[in-house]
Amino acid sequence: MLKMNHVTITFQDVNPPQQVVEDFSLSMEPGEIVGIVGESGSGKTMTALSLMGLLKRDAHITKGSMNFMGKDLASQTQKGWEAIRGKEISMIFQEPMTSLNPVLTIGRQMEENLRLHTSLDKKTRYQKALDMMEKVGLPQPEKLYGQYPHQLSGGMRQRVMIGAALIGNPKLMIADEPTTALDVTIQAQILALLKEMNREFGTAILFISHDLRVIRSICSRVVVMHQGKMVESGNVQEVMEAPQKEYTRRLLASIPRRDCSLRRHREERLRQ
Amino acid sequence: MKVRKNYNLILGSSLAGVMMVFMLAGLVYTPYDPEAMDQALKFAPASLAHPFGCDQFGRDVFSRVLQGSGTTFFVAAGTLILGGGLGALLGLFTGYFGGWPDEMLMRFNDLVAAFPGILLALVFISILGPGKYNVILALGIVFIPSFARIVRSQVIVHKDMDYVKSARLMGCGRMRILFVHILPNIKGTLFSALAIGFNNAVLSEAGMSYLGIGVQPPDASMGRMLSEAQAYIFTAPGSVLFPGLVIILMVLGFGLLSDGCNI
Repeated sequence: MLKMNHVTITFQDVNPPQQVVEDFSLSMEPGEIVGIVGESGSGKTMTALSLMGLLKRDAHITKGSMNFMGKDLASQTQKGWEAIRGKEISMIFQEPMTSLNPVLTIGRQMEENLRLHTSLDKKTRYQKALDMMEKVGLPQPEKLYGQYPHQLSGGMRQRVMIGAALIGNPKLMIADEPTTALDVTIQAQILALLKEMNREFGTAILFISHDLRVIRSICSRVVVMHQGKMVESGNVQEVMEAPQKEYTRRLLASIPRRDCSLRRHREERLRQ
Repeated sequence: MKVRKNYNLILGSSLAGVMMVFMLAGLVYTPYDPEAMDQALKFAPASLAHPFGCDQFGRDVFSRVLQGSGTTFFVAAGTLILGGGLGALLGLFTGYFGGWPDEMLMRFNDLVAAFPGILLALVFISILGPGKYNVILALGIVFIPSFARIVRSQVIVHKDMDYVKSARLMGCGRMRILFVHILPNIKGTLFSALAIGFNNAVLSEAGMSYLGIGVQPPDASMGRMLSEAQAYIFTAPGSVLFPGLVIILMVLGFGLLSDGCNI
């Protein structure tokens, strides 16, 4: 479904041009959940933005090809992108507190996708929005429909974002650190919701996170990135249990443990 | 928690509301013909029949104030539609797209803003000739830069916000983002700017008419009434007092309204 071959993204305005993503390859099948893990600045978000055609003006894909369902993503026009975004590929990101428009009602924002990409009438849109709110676990959809974002908690807003991203039934959803800004119990709920939506709609999810535990709990495959390069990729179990590369090992060792002998543990891991 | 009452908004909107009714009424109805002269009523003091008294030609001041405020409303509204509308549009586009058109228009704005507004309006009037439509045109052009600037700065603040990003991720086009997503967010600022703009338009029109280059007779205008009546300020204070009072109340009402909107 999605094929990225040896993609390189370069900032061309700086001298010398800086490569933020280098030689990145990824392929995804429909309905799959793939994770990208890496520290800040490793190029995770850049990769995601390139899939949405939202790279900053001075960043360009200088090498490689991106193909999504037979469409060449590297050569899309503005109009072409507008037809892809939200309809074929949608994306949610880290900040549920600020990603909703403060002056539009929740219902209005849930429907935005349908207004843009379908010709459904008002009643059908309303019904679909209510259905979707129920599916993403929002209580009292009729009441919520007319409320504004400031009346909702962070977890609820992220549910709204997920609902709004899935209402157009996209083939792929990119989730860029969707749980980072939420507290741990809500994190678990949102992850469970994403999994459930993946099962129910068959939407493939590209899950970006710096948190290996989150990746492990949701993804089937994982790509480890470091300084713009792919370090390792493969089945989550394999990568987590038997990392091949030094960086992955260190990344795994950096997860804090419950016991106090963190340092010893880390040293042991390194010695292995 | 007790919600603090927004007295500015309450007082401002009621005052502005009353003045609005007054102005709108002036467009369609006056108790006497504002032009009808009656020597017997020359300098007549305020009475039940003539609540604001009569002027040096025996014309009913109340009728003239009503008609004058109607004219003022017409000029101020026209100025806002022209200046505020064009300015807001310019601000939206330059703020959102940036680049060289933004730079060029903003420098042009600086150029217009560097001139004292009333002087610039005088220049326009001397080219176009006086009359209320030309006043609207002149003031409208003078008003464009301030609106453009206010809207532009707001658009720049909002265009990098996450909600705009998520709208873009949903596949919204630029125009849709601008008018459906950003514009409602800057409505508050725009409204209060419009209320201030209305005040400025009222004052500018009064000033220009006072100088004799604004609204021309037979259209009544409060500025012109003030300038005509000032010679008789001690004989018939009413004909100076009431037009002045109406201008003050009008400006005060819309000023408070603007403060009330902008919290």
